[in-house]
Amino acid sequence: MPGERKRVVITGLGAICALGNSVAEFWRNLTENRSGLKPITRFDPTGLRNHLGGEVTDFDFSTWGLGSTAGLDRAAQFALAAAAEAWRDAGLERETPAAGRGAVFSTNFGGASSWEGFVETGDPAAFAAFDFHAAAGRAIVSFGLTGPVVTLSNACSSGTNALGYAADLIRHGQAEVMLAGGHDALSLSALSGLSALRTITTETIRPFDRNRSGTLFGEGSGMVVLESWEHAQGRGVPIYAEVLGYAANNNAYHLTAPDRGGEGMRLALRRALADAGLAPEEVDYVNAHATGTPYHDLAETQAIKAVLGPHAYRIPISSLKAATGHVMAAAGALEAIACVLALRDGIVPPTLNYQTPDPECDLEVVPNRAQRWEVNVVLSLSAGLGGNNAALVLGKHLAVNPGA
Amino acid sequence: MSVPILISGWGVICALGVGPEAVWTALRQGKSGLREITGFDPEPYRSQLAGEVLDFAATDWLLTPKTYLDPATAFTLAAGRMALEGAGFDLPLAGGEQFGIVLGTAYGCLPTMYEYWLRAQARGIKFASSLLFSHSLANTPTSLAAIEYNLRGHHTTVTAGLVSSGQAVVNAVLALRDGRADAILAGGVEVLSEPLFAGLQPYLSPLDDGPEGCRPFAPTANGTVLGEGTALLILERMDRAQHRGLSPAVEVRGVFQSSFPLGLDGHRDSLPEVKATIQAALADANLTVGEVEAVIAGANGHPTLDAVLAAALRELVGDRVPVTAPKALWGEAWGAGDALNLIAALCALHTGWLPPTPDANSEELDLVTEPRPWSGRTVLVVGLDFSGAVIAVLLCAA
Repeated sequence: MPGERKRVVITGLGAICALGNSVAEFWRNLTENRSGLKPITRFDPTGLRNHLGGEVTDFDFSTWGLGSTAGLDRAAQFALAAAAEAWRDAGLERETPAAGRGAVFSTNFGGASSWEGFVETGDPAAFAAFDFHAAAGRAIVSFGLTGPVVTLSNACSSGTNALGYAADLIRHGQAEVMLAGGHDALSLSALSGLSALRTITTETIRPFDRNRSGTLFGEGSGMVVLESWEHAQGRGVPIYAEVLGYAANNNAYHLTAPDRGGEGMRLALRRALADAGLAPEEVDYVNAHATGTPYHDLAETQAIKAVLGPHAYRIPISSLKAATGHVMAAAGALEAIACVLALRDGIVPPTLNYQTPDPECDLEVVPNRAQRWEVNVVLSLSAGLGGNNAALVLGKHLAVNPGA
Repeated sequence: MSVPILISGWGVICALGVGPEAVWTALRQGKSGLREITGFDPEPYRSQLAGEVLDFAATDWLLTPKTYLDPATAFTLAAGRMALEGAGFDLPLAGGEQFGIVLGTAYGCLPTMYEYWLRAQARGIKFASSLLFSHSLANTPTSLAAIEYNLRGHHTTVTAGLVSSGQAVVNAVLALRDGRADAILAGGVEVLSEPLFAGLQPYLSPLDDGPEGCRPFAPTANGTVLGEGTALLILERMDRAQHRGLSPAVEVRGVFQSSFPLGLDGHRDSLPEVKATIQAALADANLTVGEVEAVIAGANGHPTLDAVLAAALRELVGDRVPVTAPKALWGEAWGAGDALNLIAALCALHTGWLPPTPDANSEELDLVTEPRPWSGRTVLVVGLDFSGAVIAVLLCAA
């Protein structure tokens, strides 16, 4: 109903990335401090600033029971496989399709390898596989969706935007159950541009480190199942976490340069907390976007300090990017999954490759080893080319009747 | 009840002209903007026609000179300026934190993506152009419009095929109701280019031996004709608009979106989902189907798509309400299609004329085949993508 906001909870998770092809593998490797970065093998990376990437390995779409790969780019296969894991995890594969089930997917580059193929051959079938909406279109069939099915493309904040918007659709009564997340695959056409922009390091990725010199990219997909609290209760399924708040905005500053001082990110963080109705002191962990580029990590640190005040120094703040690579549209979604599992297990994931403290990035960045930490509320921040920002607040699910 | 959302400004560029006056005049006269392509040589293709934008000069619209712009970005900046100035805003906006942008585009900056990748391969990956790359992303037009006009608030780019801009409007309306912004520039953009034309051939007329053309709801329909352009609306919370001294004119009363498995060959007779989407939008608007006085349909001449829409409208409104599909005049502008149809709905509400669908023919629907005077207050805009994603938006004169 207009004006009323339903509570939104997370009941399913799915992950495909360099750390593993399931949520269990992803989380185990992440909390055992492993990195999935290795030399890229899918294409010849000659000419790129770095040959390392977070490539997905041992991925076989046929094991997911989602039919043929015909017409599906590698990126779309990641999306559908992660969605299938989340769908199963939420116990939805046992149910008959029902109204109000939809999806918000997101991607930066769509089927980028198919795009390269199309440019070479002009084959319309390759163009169809490149289409940004191709994975979501197939999801309609694969999961029997009849609710809203949307694809977003907000550069590297996309995954966080997808979760936030899907939650909004449920809050507003426009859907009951939503798959939400992001997907992208490594491709030469995308990496060549990201390399030309000098976002890629020639050494290795070191978020928040004084000697950080750029990022490394990865591929994969993160997907979650969101549903209204009432719907989850009605089905009697376990609840991982609750979506408490969300905000998206733009720096309106520069197409490729980070906003000095992190003004735009400050606004996103403040608004997400206000949306959640929480004070900065109630945040127990921040999952940072921190890509390892000199300017971004500094601006993000400044934004977190500006919004959380002295509390920023009392809580862990870490980046997954050195473990997974920067997985583009999948980043915000996989990071949200890590946040959900941090809430569940009381473990915060590490910032890998951290060697030299930076006096300007002086927060507790969970260097190199996961830490035990009691987490009730997490804040996950994403940012992207074009000045996009998105922030999500997730909380431990408290079994409270919303009317009470 | 949630706060009403007003349309306080609009900008449009399409095959019928540049700016609302030119486009509305052409719509009222039922002029077609479809002609032989001039931007590239269509000779190698089955199809030769498109709804190309002519006589558009980006420099007429830019606040400051630019080094490079993809045509999608140029369209967006120009129509954004029309919409913002039309709504009475001084540019660039002061503050801007409560002002957002949500833009739909199926293929974004495809011309620049194409040029970027051709050049990167020719020169070597190491010498790829960072300038072209940064202007090639799907969200580049959205972000550059945010930078140009200082739109610092709610921000999203929707890439969902034919319903991209309809979904963008839904996203914007929900964000405004939720207080995520006071005003949002919302709509869509798509540009015609040879790679797009080549990639979309399987949808384009002539799909059979018949004559090439965009003939929604016509027995001779045999595919769509590609269009291009942009349509952007200023959507504003009524409480803020009144604060600015605006009086309500047209309201976005209800929105809804859903989906079903369509598929190009999967011809379906009974379309409960499209009907249900429209009914849900009506419920969102607190209206009954009997209160709908005109329908602007997303039919584009593709037989499968049109059959689905026709079946749903037949069941819902029958021959009681005039139905028209302006894509007949400006072509199928993909990610801008639904937003352009909202411009047609505004034309009807502001000028009292419904644009025609010249070749349409059905005994079960009241299809508007010639420009028709109309004095209603409520218009339904319905759009459908080949994936099966559906949107419905209800506009009401306030």
